[in-house]
Amino acid sequence: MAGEPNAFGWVKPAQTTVIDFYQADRDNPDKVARDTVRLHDYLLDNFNVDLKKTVYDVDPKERLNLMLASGEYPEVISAMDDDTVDKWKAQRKIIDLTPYVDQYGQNIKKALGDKYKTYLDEDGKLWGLPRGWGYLPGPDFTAHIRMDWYEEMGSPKIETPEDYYEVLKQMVAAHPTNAQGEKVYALSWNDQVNINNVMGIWGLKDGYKEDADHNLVHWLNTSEGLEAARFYNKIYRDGLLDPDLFINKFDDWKTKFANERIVGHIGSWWHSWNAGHEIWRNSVPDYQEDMRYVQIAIKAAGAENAYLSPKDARGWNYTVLTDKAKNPEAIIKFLDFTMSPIGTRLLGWGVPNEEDSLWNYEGDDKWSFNEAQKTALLDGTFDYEKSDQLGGNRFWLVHGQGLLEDDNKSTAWYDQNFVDEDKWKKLMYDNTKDTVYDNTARRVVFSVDNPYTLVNQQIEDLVKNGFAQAVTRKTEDEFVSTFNELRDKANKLGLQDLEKYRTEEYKKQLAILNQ
Amino acid sequence: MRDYLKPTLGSRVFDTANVVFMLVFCALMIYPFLNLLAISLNDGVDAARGGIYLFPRKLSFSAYELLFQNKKMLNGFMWSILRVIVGTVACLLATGLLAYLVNIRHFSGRKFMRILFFITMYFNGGFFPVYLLIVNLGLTNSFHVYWLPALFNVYFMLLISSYIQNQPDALFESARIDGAGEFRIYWKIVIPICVPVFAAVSVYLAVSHWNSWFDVVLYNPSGKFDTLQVYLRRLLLEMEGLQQIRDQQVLYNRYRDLSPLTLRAATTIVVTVPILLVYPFVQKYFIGGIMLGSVKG
Amino acid sequence: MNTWRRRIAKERQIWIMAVPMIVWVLVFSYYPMYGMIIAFQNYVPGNSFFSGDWVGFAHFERFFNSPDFSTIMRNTFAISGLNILFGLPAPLILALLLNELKNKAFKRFTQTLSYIPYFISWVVVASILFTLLGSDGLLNKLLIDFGFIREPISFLGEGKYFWGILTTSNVWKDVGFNSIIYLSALASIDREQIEAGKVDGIGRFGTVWHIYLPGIRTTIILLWILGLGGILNAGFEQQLLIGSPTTAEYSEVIDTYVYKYGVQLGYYSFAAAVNLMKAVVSVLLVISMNRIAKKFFDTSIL
Repeated sequence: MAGEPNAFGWVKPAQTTVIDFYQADRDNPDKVARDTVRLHDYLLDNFNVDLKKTVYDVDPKERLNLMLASGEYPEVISAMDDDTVDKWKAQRKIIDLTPYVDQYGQNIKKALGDKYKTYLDEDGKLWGLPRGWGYLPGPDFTAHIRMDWYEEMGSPKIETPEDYYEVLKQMVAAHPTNAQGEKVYALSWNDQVNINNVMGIWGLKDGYKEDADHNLVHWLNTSEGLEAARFYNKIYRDGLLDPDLFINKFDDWKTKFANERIVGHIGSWWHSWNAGHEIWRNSVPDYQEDMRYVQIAIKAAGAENAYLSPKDARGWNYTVLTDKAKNPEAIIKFLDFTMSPIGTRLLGWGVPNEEDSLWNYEGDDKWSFNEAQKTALLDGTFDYEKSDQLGGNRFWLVHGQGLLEDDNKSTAWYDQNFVDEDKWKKLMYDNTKDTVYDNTARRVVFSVDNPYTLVNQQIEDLVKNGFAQAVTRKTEDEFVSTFNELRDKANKLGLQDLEKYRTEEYKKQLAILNQ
Repeated sequence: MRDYLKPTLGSRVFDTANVVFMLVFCALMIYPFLNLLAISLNDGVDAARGGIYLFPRKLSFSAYELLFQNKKMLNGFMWSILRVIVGTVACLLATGLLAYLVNIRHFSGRKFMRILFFITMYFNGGFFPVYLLIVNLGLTNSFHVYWLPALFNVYFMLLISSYIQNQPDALFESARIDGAGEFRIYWKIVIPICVPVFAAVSVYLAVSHWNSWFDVVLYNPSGKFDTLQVYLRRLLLEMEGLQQIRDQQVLYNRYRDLSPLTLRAATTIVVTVPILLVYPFVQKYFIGGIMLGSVKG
Repeated sequence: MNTWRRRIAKERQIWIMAVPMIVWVLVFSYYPMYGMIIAFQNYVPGNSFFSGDWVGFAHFERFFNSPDFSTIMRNTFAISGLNILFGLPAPLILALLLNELKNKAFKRFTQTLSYIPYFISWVVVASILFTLLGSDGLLNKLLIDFGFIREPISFLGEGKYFWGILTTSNVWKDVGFNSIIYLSALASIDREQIEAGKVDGIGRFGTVWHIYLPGIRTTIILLWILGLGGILNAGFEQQLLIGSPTTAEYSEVIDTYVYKYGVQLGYYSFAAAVNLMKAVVSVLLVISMNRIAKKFFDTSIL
């Protein structure tokens, strides 16, 4: 009944609140339609909110531009980036949310806490609500090693990259070819691996060395950068680096990996799971649990820390209300609910209290996990596709992805809730404890108006290509001269100006965040 | 007509070499297709291990089952066929007429028309103006956006025109002297003579319409007029969409949901096979089949 | 008197058909051309096209002065040049060879198979190339087995092979499809001429040289002029998929450059300016080659 609070303590509006939003992410509309039906109906019944998501399978930037140019757009748009928010704000197509959040956004303000003010513009106005803000304490990028073969060797200690390479070398010596007789390598690379993450091993933060005064120097201009590149070059010269490493697309790398041809990896934490045991447990007869990769941290001798996983807590992008929104108060009221811990659980885990639900809600803020699903997750028998249809995280408008404040343990990502109970996740977290750091202050928006956008892109491309060239030199002297050439070229293009720019922006952000 | 000259030795050597060449050529052309076919008939998880060449290792129809289970596929198929037929016939007849008109000797505007259309082959206003125009003309969310904006194709106009130029003018003149109107000449004389080039152009047009998806998602986002390609492409685009994502947790989830290699292979097969089935009916008009009646005097 | 009146009536007939065509092209092609104006502005989508934020030729200058300009142009001409050198004659030769096949069924079968690669997407082609030319690929295995080399060659990783690989892939993909138009042109050649040639004893090759080729001359000239006019279009998707960081120096062409530094970063005006430049160059090329064709071959496509 309208006017009365529902089981979640939220007052149902008399008139159905319609939130028809376009999410500017490239997605499959058919899948989205299939996955949002149940949660949509649940919300309509229990909240009198008609939440509808539209996606297109075209480039979202193009789509947004067309919307802007033609004047045809919905009331709510989600997943807009900084640049686009500014553009729409300049054309007065989105509305200032501050008055609504001030009045109805208690949960929003509480959840964002100190960070709330960082989302306001120079005039103190809020134009977009962040989504996916905060971060999970787990690592994003790690080094990986083959577990069973490692245990075979007696689990020798691995602390530095040199240790790591030694162990990999011995592993390859013990397993020089796979079952089909193909050569095995120590390391490879794929098009998703980012040089900056590798640099973290040598103590560089997101590709830059930071001194005590927060001045930034790009890895090309540091000795650590040279060492990191030399590390790969040495492995290449020893013949233990996959010679096609920079040609590998993710799929090509995955095929090699799944065929047991690469014993180590430095890259995203999930790479070695996706290409490793998640395939093997279904395809290898007599599959043993240890036939998998574990994530570890390695730190170069002189580095202060292994800064492997920079985390940007600001959020992926924003949700905005356009000037066509007929009832902004009602929309903000609902969005505010989703920012509360229980609201985030509802939108993060999907429909509760059904037989195949991931969780149960008993009312009065009391909730519990569905034991059957939880066990399935820990066992590896969890049916992801079916559970997607419960709508979890399918409507991601404003909630965060970090740990919820009421118990500091649950998170909207359902499968990240049981880290302690999942042997392998726990191992990963333990191994990479100190490698996660907050990188929010380093954020720079390279919009069309930014004079450094072009230079940044040129240098990024130059560095990507140059690094590949340097690593694949056949002698150490050639490597050093190629590296130096790369460094000189980059500096000529304007790398040092870019460093200065980044330093300024960094210091600015630090000042704001520390206020 | 009988070949009443004995083939020379050189001629026979050439013929043998030609056949051998063609056999090798066929193998090169068809191998990737057979490879995709093999992958598409393989089990998804097993296919990720690579190493499948001409035959599936672990036979499974799951990729095709997944494709066909959605009724949208049948719908898409229907719209695709409709689009191919309407689009091809409309463009062919219209462009053919244009090609004929600009070849009429006594038509004073023919140079003007040629140049007018020629310029449009290279200069265009870009993405946004065209989109706005289509919106303003009310062609969005309609089937007509598939054939009307593509009604006259300059490239094919030039092709057909060069073909017509090769034909003796006497053909048309005699009809004119007999009092036939230009449109009648086009319909009764030009079209029959141009059958080979029309057949070739219709292949190109049909393939283009069959493969198109961008204008569908752009102008008909509601999904009501989705063609087959749109539906199939959705399964493939996931890979492209992933390039933009940086968040590792999101990526982990997306990669887990990614369509298996086998599904992607199956989409190519499903798109190509109908063309291969229909093609022979058009092929006979320009290769080893129907002999054109000699209208030439 | 009668013929003159009839001629006017005839022209009017034609004009009645021509006028709707002119209207169509004005509406669908010429009217949107106002969009080209953004090449001279700093256009932001959503702005009016006539907001007057003029920058003149700044974007053109930016393109010509970019640090990689000479590399990009070199790559573009090299890749296009190879595509033209091999890609223009190949469909013609294929059509002539197909035409010579005696067995009709085999001819039709082969021709149908010949264009299948056109439907294989570049993503699939890239992955096939990887299987073939990778360090563990088929080609390397063969070369090592036969003792030609000792260490595998990274064909896809070394820049000097890139152009060859790209051209071969392009020709492989398009030759069958592009030969269709030549086949249709060959089908229209007067059979009597062919028979007469046979009687004159000019032989197989003579038939090709003196009868087939001249018979489809206008088609060949048209397609080759248009092909040459597109010399600044060296591809886009292929470079992105087959290229890699180590071959970037050889794979960056105008279209990939415009995409990376124009469209992707939001610099639509820059992209528009480069496209406009490409269009002007193409038109000038086509017109001048058409003049040459008129002079030497007495054929004009315009």
